[in-house]
Amino acid sequence: MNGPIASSPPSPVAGSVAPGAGGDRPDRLRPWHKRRLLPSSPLYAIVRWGAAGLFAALVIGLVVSIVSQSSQAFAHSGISFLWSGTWNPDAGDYAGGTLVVGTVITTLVAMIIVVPVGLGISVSLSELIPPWLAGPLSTSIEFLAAVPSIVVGLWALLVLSPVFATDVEPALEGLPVLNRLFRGPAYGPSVLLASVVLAIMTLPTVVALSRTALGGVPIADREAAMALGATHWQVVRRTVLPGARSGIAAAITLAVGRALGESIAVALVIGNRPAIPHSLLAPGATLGSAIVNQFAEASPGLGTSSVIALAGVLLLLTILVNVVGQLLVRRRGGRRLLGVRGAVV
Amino acid sequence: MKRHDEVTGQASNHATDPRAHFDDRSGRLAKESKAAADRPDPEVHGAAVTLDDVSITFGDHVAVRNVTLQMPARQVTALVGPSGCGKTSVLRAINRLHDHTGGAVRGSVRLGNLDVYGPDVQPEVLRSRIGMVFQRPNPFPTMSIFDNVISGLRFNGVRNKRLLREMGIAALHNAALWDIVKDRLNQPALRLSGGQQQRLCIARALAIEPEVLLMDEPCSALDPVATAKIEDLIRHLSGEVTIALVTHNMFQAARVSDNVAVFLLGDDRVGELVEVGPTDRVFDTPDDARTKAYVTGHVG
Repeated sequence: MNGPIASSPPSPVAGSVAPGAGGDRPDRLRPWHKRRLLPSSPLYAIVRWGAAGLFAALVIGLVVSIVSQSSQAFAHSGISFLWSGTWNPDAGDYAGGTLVVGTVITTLVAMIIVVPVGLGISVSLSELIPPWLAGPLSTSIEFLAAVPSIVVGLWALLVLSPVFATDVEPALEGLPVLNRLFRGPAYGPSVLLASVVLAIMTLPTVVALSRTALGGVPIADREAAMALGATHWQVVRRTVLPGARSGIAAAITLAVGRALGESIAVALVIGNRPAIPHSLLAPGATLGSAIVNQFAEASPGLGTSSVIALAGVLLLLTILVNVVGQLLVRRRGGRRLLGVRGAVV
Repeated sequence: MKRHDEVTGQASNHATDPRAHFDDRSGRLAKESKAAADRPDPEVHGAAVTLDDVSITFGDHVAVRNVTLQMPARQVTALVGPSGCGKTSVLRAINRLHDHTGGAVRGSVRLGNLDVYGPDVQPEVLRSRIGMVFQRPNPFPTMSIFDNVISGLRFNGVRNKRLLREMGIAALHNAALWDIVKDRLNQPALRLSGGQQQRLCIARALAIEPEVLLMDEPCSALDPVATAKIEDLIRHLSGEVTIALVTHNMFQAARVSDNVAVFLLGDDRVGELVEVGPTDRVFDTPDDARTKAYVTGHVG
């Protein structure tokens, strides 16, 4: 407290723009760079429009260059590049259909794994586990978000994949009914392994954001339920989860976006076979993994243009997910009011 | 029971007493019925809520100490005093809301004859017998108006649709809200005005048919017109349910309460109860000099 800085008398701050601090002269008498930045000043407009314009130019430039550079691929395959055809440069097939399917499947399976697990963890962290333990636990989960994807991918390939090949995948093949999804042979690298890797990588996103959303539900709402005789679980189920709904939707949206675009880790563990997988244990490919594998060796012209077209499709998918996510978030508790549970009277 | 029949034309049409269905309530309330039978009638017993030498501490901080107070059944007891003197803490001790905020309650709190902090008491079951209305209207934002009213019944295991409907309508009548909301029961609760939201919260608390209604400065976030409506409601409900009303407004206490308990801060900044008695007597001829200074507006 009594260090030299704190105890020294406050010195006038050079260039300060606070009224009265930079001297006694009114603004118009100061050099231009010492004047307060008023909304009416031209500099203000330049900064404001400049920042917005720069950002817009970046996005537009990206989209324009992707569209123009991929035109050759679309001219070759038509707009059905988006949903049909396969990707086999050796045979001259340049279309994204199988890759879109592979991307959607891996993302979907990853979400089926990560949403219940992530929500379970975040509810536990915010509602059940005492704070002295929840703090370190959630820090360690958030640390997972900082692990580079190549590290996760390499670990999955070298450590997880053998375990999958010898234990996990054979066990799944032995399941009743569900084994239709898990027909062998069990290699290790597969759509399932890629989905698990995506689930691991998106877990911190889901946990951190849902936990924030759950923590943001006002104490007043919780106490209202408690005072009516609600059990702890009822408070969570009927008050906290519905109140956090839009935040949870946002968390899942971000996770989906990340899962769609993740490339390196997926390319390491999915097996890279651009065909519609007949089972979750089969190898497959996604838009991202195909781009990773192709960009270096694509033949000039149609090959390069097609890789860029894949990037365009990926961009389109992620934009779509974000728009849908925005709509979900904005809807905020509208669903129940549309009469699913209402209409008691 | 009278409450339903007098106040609600509609609810009285049903053939049977809604409470006859209460045995249908699955789970927790059914378990409680034995304890309810053991309980003497509060009217005979006199006090619905009894606090005996109650002190409440948060960590090292003593919020309020040595409170001994009886709240007569079916009357309004106002807890008045300046901010920070422990009124709300005392109120929250009655339905054990301190359990999860780290407040420690010493002394004895009884609901009728039941020791609120007894070893066999489940807080959830206890709270289903006590309604509470908070400072700021806090309807559940994701629920419709009607779902808000019947939420407490649902928490307590009522599943019967007809019963939910009847008890919900009765509660809305009791809270003088039925005519306002009858055509928009499925709309979001947050579309109501602040005063209406607070009456919705009162309806929600009444729907579980509590023995005691705790009101924590229910008008502090409301305008004078909405405040007057809530006060009307409090007067209307007294005689039917025991009400504990925390307020810092002397005039409100004088208008609506039968008894008043005056809390003040002691010299060491700890809240204490300085005087309790019938409202008229405490306001007209207070025993304690500090009370006199406070109620006549010289302090606080």
